[in-house]
Amino acid sequence: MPGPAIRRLLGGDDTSVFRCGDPEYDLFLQRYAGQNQDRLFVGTTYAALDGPRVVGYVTVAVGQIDREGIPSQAQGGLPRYPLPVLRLARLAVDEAFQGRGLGHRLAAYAFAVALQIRVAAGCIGVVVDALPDRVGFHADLGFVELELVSGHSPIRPQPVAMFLPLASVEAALP
Amino acid sequence: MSRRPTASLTHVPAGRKHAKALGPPTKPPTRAELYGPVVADSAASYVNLGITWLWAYDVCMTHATQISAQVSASAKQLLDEYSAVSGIKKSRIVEDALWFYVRARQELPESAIVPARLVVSARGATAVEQSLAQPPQATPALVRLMRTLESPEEE
Repeated sequence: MPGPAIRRLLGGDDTSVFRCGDPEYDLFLQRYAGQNQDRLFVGTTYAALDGPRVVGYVTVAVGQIDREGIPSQAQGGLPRYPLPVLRLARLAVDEAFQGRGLGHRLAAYAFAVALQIRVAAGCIGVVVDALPDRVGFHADLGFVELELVSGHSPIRPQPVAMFLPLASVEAALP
Repeated sequence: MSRRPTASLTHVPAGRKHAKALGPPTKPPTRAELYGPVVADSAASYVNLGITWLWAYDVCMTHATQISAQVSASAKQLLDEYSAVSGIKKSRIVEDALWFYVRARQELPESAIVPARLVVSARGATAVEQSLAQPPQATPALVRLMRTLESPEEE
């Protein structure tokens, strides 16, 4: 496969020169992604590497969709227990590598992780926090907007939570 | 010359008749002795969150208290199930979880924490339900995206 290899972020990976155009995403990779992953276990980051240098990343975290407080008649056919999902929280590509499809590869990699989790522990779909200018892109992939009561992403400008069932991802596998 | 340590600090909560102020280590009083009957209103998901022990050698400092909290039914269910499966007391689970949570919040800025629990509105629930009942067919864009796939490494 041409282009940077993708794998789980490791301690020795060079994140120091990563610049994606959004300083908050750069800072997250350089200061918090490893801590999040290896010390606090609240999310995992998969990195695209050009040599030792990280040139793109996607951060995922397991989560659940809950319908707490919704009247039972409005819950439709959904089960009453929380529904496990994989939340695609951040995805960024270094400016020097943008426009080469690396973002697509990282997203596909994250979807494949969700398929693995579905088998290993249960997962019904992927929730992505789409920045306002990327809502259309995710809608083209089949994502539907998810109206939340709580659990919004802390990223600003506030992203739109969108959901895609894994059955659709599986149907799209080559 | 070794000197036997003595108790130097003791906190005795008001009304805790059974808490020993000073003296050699003794068997800790039972929860019932300390707190009396605990009333739990399960119908309202009212959880009596238990007690905490700090028991140091030769410093008989009883430092335990009780908290009560209104929590979601799913949180109570999770607590009950995890306690039953792991054999860990609910009070210990709550205390450990609190320490982990506070530590994480101290070490990470708010923007670095991804909320794990998404509570959807009725409209959101309908959208999920429809997606699961009739998964949308893979769009051409999704098919193209998945063609770029590399399998995640087995770790």
